[in-house]
Amino acid sequence: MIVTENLTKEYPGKRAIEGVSFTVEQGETVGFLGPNGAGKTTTMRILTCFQPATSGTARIAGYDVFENAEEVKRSIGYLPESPPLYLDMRVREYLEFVSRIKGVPRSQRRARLEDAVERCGLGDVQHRITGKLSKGYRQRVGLAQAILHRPPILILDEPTSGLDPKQVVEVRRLIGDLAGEHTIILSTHILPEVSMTCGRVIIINQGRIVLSQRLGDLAAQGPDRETLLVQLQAPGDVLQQLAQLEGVHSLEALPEDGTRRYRLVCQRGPEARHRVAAFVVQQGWKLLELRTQETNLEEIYLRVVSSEVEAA
Amino acid sequence: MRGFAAIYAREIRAYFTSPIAYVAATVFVVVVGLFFITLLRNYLSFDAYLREQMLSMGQEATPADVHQYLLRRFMGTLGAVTLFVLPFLTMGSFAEEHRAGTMELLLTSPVSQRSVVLGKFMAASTFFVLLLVLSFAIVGSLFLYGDPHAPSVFVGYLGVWLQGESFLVVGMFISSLTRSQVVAGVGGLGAALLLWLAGLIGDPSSMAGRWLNELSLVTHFEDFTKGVFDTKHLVYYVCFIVFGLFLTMRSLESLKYR
Repeated sequence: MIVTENLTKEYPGKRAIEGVSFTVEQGETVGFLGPNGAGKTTTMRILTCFQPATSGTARIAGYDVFENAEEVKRSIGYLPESPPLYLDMRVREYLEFVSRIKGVPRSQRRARLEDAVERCGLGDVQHRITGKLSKGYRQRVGLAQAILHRPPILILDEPTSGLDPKQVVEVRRLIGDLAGEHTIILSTHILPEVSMTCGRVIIINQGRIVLSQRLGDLAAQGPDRETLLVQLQAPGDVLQQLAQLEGVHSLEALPEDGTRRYRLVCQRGPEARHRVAAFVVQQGWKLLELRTQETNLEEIYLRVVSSEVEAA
Repeated sequence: MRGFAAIYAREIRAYFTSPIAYVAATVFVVVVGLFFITLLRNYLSFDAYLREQMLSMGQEATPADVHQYLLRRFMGTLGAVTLFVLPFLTMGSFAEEHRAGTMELLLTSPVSQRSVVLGKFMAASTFFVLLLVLSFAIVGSLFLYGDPHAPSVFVGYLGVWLQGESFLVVGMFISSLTRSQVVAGVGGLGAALLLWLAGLIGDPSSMAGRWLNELSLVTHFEDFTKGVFDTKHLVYYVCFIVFGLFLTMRSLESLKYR
């Protein structure tokens, strides 16, 4: 649904993003995570045809954002960081205007408008002036604006920023409701938000993608499993032999740095850990490290983001 | 031109719900009315003086020419007042969209930039024509009590209209460059004033001076006030407006790279 290749955007004297490549499949909800100024908004602006990339390509629903901007704009609903409201208009008037510029056919306008108003819980405020609404309601109007023309793709830039906790919960629930029928990219710098609403996370830092992974793969898969990190020195085909151990569900080799490192998903509890350790010793391999890996998002985020900072 | 109608309708609505337009309209009508009364008084005393002179010379007294001594001056004044009022109609056109972030909505919607610029321009023009209609209620009184030369009045209004549209274009262009309405308003007024008076800058005997004079908005305006219609002036204003609209579209396009 969304494919970007090597997107780079340079501003005078500054490189906002560099070599950003990722793919989002239809129906996915992807969280775009990164510290402030990491390049999230820039990436989203490129996807929405608001700004062109300096180099690289992005295709949305098969259309190039530069060559076929018209079609791309039809396929996306975009909620910028601050909802783009005309503060002197009434909610309904505003949504009607948006449905017109989004090219919703006249015959369907009314139905779409009612639908968006209902989904976003705007029934009570639809005749009020947007400038007099609370921040939470403005955000909802912003969301209503984005879904009005039923775009297959939603791009939401920090949809919960600046809201109070109750409003945050409401907006997240709303996004959850939309997730089924839309492909969604949402950016945030709030970690739990990603685990709550997204199926996949892309972490971006200093303009580069540092991690792109399904959340299911990040967390130990289910309550009865955990992830072990094993580092050892050994000859031969270690992978095969480890995989045959009882209690090991899956494993993968990590990049080597002189020693061999593996990530194993095993039965939760000391049993499996012991079995792995005993097996390694029995084989005469040198066990250098064996530990369970904390797989909550926060740790991963801090790890990838701070290691980037050190490297810089 | 997709989206033109929607944008035009929204702009018109915005004009009629914002205080700026009402204040501008009120100021316009009051100032124009005051100038009209002053000019009318001057005309009447001049007329009386002329009759007296003629009678004393033993000639038959005829009224002073209404167009020459009243309408021509009035048209000139009307043109000057629009210069000071119109920048306030256009100052918000893009600056406010930048500031409020609605520009992002417009530019990520499947509407062409041409629709955005023309929609806003046509809405401002509509409001401006309304101002002219209001001002005609003042001048029109002459038709009730006298017999002004109607085609000359029409040509005069054509001039005011064309010149006013040029001011609107200048104001819109300046507004597309900034996110502050105040900067857009003052800048638009300054730019319009500069273009209006460009002829005064150069030495009229030099080549450059003559060029500047030809570029100046007011040079082309004068013939209209006399009731003289010359296509060269029409061509000048149309070119000015089209070029201004073109620049505004380029300016929006350049937003992408800023």
